[in-house]
Formats: sequence, structure tokens, C-alpha cells
Amino acid sequence: MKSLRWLILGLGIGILASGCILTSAQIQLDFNIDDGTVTSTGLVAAPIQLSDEQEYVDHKDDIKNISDLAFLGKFTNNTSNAFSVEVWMVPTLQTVPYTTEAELKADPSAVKIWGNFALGPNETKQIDWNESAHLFTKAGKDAIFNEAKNGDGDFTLYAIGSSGTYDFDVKNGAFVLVLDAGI
Amino acid sequence: MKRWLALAAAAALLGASSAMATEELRVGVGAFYGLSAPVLQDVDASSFSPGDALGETGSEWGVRVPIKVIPVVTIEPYYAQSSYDDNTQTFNNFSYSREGWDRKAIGANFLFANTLATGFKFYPYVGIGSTKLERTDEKLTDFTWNFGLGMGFSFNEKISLHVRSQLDLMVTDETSRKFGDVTAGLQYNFQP
Repeated sequence: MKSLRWLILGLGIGILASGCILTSAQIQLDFNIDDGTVTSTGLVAAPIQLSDEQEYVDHKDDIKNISDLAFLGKFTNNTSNAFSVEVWMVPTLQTVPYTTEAELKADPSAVKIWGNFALGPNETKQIDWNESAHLFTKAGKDAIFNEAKNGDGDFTLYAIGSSGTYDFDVKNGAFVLVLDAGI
Repeated sequence: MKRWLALAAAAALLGASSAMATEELRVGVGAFYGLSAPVLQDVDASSFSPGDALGETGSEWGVRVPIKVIPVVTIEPYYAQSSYDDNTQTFNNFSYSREGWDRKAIGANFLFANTLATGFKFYPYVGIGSTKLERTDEKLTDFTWNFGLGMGFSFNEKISLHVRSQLDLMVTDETSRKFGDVTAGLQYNFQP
């Protein structure tokens, strides 16, 4: 019976060491993005306000990680040239959004978070959720996590073309993130 | 955290190994099948209802090898495998599907009963193991705790039926991915 005590003690220590793993969850938040037409000299800003979500406000201190991300929607290339779409993030809610790619890239706090999503000439594509999740960059995930955990949770997204002259529509867009948090 | 888990495993192994000589070795083998579902994963915070606590279900199967070497406790190495359905949701009027995980788990349960003996058994158990989650271009492997309740009924000295409900906590740093399982299986005992 002495050895049984060791066994129970060992299992007990392990369970207690588990801490908040018992009371955690992966919480999904999603934000609709307004339809827009994007050109290299006519960017469209998409404000994302985590601070509008009560669950985020209540559990901000408990956020441990981001377990999933996606940028969704239907993209239409309005030109006869192939190009790719990227998404950049500025970690503030901009009252005066950038209108040109040059302004966006000149901002040292701007980070490319997603891409590249290839569009053929005059092609319309609705992105797949799985494909979109894999297009998030490591720097992008880190930037969003940092903003969610240490910032105010409000930031601005911009979809741009990867090179040259571009013109594309984003329709029925959505930004989805899953926060790994204690509850 | 890892130091505590190592300590827990060491203490459990110490208990198991030092007691080996005190109990006649009895061994069985079992196979099980059932349902599994993610618990509190990808829950929508804006429109949460209790029904959303469980994600898309999947089938689960596996094998177990109960070994009776310690009084009161049966040690049971196991292998389990699950495949979950895709998670389909609508965002801004478009429908999307996220590929479900394939889960493979290996470890050992500690059953607080002699499940190799005849008769009706109702037993709690805890377990430790390693779980691998996989879907296209994504793979996670982490330490896992299991907690469960089981019910066993022996048809004779060799064959018994076991029904179990179990919660798996796949530890991801300071949080966990949880899965709930309900399974039924048959067990064959090599020694009467």
C-alpha cells in the first residue's frame, strides 16, 4: 500500500501542476470587413476592434496564445495582369487611414501578416479557410498576439497587391481569430 | 510545468515498479470504438450557447493492454485514434469549412479497480500520454492528461465489456485542447 500512495501522490502532483489547463478554451472572434476596391493608390482600411468584444475585454489578461487565424472573402482581379494579394497590419486604429501603398510601407510599425494569395488575370476566387490559415506569417501572428495581449486590441488591416499596378475587389470579407485563453 | 510533470510521472513509475513483486501478473487486451468531440475549442464568443461547447464529432477507436501488477490499480497502456469532421461556419454571408483534426494518442491509464477480475465494475481512472493532432500542413504534439469513468461487466472469466467516458487535456503551454470521448469495447483476459 506504500507504493500505491506514491502512485496516487504522483498523479495528484501532476493534476495540481496542470493549473489552469482545466479551465481554458479556444475562443473564436470574427469581424466582417466592408466590401471595397483596392488599387495601389487607393487603399481601403479595415478597422478591427477586439475591444468591442466583451469576452476579449473580460479575458484579455488570460490570453496565452493565438491558435488559429484566417482572412476570408471573395477576391476579384480587375486587371489582365496576374498578381498576389497580401494583408498588412498597422497596430493602431487609424482615424486617418493610409490611402497609398507608399504611405503604408513607410510606417515602421506596419507588418505584413498574410499572403501571398495568387490571382490570375481577371480571376475571381473565394479563398478556402484552410488555405487562408496557412498564409499567415510568423511575424503576422506575433504582431496580432502582441496587440491582443499587450496592446488595446484595436488595429487596422490593409489588403494590397504584392507588386506593380493592381486593382482588385474584396467582397464579403471577414477576419477570424481564435484566442487560446484561460477562462 | 515540465519539471512538475516529470516529477509526477517519476512518482507514478516508482509506485508501479516497487509494487510489482507484490501482485501476481495478470494481463488482458482490449479494443474499443466510440465517439469523440473537441470540448471548448473554437467557441464563438459573440453567440455562445452551452451546445457550442462541443465541436464537430468524430469516430474513435483504439487498443488497450490492462496489466494488473499493483493492488487496487490496473495499469493500462493504450493507443487511440480519432478523426473529426470539418467545422463549417458562415462569415459575412459566405460558408467556409475548416478541416477537422486527426488525433493519435498513446499513453497509460491508471484504473482504480481490478478490471481483470470478474463481476460488475464501476471505476474512475486517470492517465498520461502524448497526443498528436494533424491536419493539412499543421501538426501539434503535446503531453496529455486523461480523466475518466468506466463501467465494466464480465461475461465470463475471459471476456468483459467496458463502457467509458473520458476527458483528454492536451497541454499546450499554460492552456489545453480538450476532447471528450465516449467509447465501448471488449476485453480479453489472458489469465482467468
